[in-house]
Amino acid sequence: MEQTIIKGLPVGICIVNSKGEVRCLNDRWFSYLEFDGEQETLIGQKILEIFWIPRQIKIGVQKLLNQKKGSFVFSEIQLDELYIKAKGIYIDNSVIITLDDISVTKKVQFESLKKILRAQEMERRKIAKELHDGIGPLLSASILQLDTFMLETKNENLLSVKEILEDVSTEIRNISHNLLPATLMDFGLVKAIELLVEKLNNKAKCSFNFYAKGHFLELEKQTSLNIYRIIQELINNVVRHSEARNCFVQLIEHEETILLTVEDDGIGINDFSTLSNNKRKGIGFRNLRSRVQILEGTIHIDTAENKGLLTTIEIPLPYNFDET
Amino acid sequence: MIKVLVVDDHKVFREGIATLLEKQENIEVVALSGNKQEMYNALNQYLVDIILMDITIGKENGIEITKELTDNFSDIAIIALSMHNETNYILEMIEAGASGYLLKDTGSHELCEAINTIYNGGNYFRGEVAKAMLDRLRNKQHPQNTKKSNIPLSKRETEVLKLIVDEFSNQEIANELFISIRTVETHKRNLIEKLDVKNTTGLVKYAIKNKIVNLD
Repeated sequence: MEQTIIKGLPVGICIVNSKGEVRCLNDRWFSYLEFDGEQETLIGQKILEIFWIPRQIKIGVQKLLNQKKGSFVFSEIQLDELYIKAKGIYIDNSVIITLDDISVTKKVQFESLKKILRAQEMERRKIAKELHDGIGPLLSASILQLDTFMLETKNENLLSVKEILEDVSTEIRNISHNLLPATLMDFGLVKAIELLVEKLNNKAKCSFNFYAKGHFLELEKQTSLNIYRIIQELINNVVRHSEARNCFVQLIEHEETILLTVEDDGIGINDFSTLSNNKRKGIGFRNLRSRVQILEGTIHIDTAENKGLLTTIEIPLPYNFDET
Repeated sequence: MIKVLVVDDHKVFREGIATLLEKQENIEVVALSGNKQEMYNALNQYLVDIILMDITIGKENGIEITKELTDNFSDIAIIALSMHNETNYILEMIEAGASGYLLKDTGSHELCEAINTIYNGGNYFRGEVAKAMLDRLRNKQHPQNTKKSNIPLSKRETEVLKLIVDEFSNQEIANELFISIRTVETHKRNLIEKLDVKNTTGLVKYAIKNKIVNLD
């Protein structure tokens, strides 16, 4: 009876006695961990010595065996393509470990993240276009009318009104540009980053350099936009926090990937926990991670106190090319 | 009389410009066009000296239209009148053949001055537009872009390259520069791709040939 229940459970399960020896387990446990040996050979073996069991689970089990009470949850263990949720609990001198396949949930999460970011960009694009093409020209027209009126009546009293309108017009252009750089859509990724760097070099203390090698015009629009936003965020961080004097941004196409590196000679980061604890910086970093995740890329940060900071982002290529 | 045609997809703006220009004694606005087709219709009907051309004309592109016009109507001068103040638009418009570039919020005085200057055979690039062009020019002459070799290397890349020449292993380079092995590998991969060589030996050759290192 007990065996039948364990066999039929919709989760992978393994029960270990107080000495850490495997007492029983089911097929699902095997299939999740991709072990294709005989079940029986494992009965009686020490779980901590079974090499193909993920390290996290072993650490959890070890802890429960030592404490002789309590429980653990690992909400996400990645095993190749599979995402597993692992739970363990100490009951009756045994540890019961369950594994749950959460790949579908993960996939849904990933897809919804993609949709959220896409929707956010669409909304931004809409607002930017309305500001730039809708309100912009109306403002320009009113400035011109006012100008004409002032010339005709030789009346200078309205000069300050005109100046305010001109400021509003400039401001609208800036907002629209931040929401969606028109250059990116019309001239592509490389030109857009050149412009970003050029603008910063005119006002920031840090001197920016940009080097690109590859066929970035062929990238899908959404991919270009994501890479642009990633670079924007990284560059902003350099300007705001690094105290760097030089920053080198590179976008290089390799055979199968794009390597994006942002290298600065600033103060670096001593302790990474400050990055995630700081709320404002934290949000920027989270957004950055989401974008990298959508591009199926990886982030690597290398830094030490006063040794500058290098962020490397590697993005796989074939998926991101525009096939139309 | 200078005969002007205004091409812009916003009616309010076209008409605003017309009202303004009609007050000038030597300027006549012959037609207002909201798209490319209307513009060609007007060109068939009237003699035109100068076209004031928007860049984003609904779904049509003022830069493309300008190219078409300079190829086919060499006697018509084109002044871009746009919301875009980004360098790329300005440069593309000049390349397409525009004789002047004005931002839509420039005053009526500049607009008339531009029309008169260009009618008399000149060009008109002032204020923000001239500044954007200068910035691009200065950036091209940025010191780091004009090193001995024309491929710019970052500070770290140069350091890594020097250590490679000195026969340091990845691990030794990592220790020397306080960076991870993975970062050393990233720099190496980028160097190989940038300098268009096949392997580490190629990097060493490049470094010596371009005097990035001095051999004693």
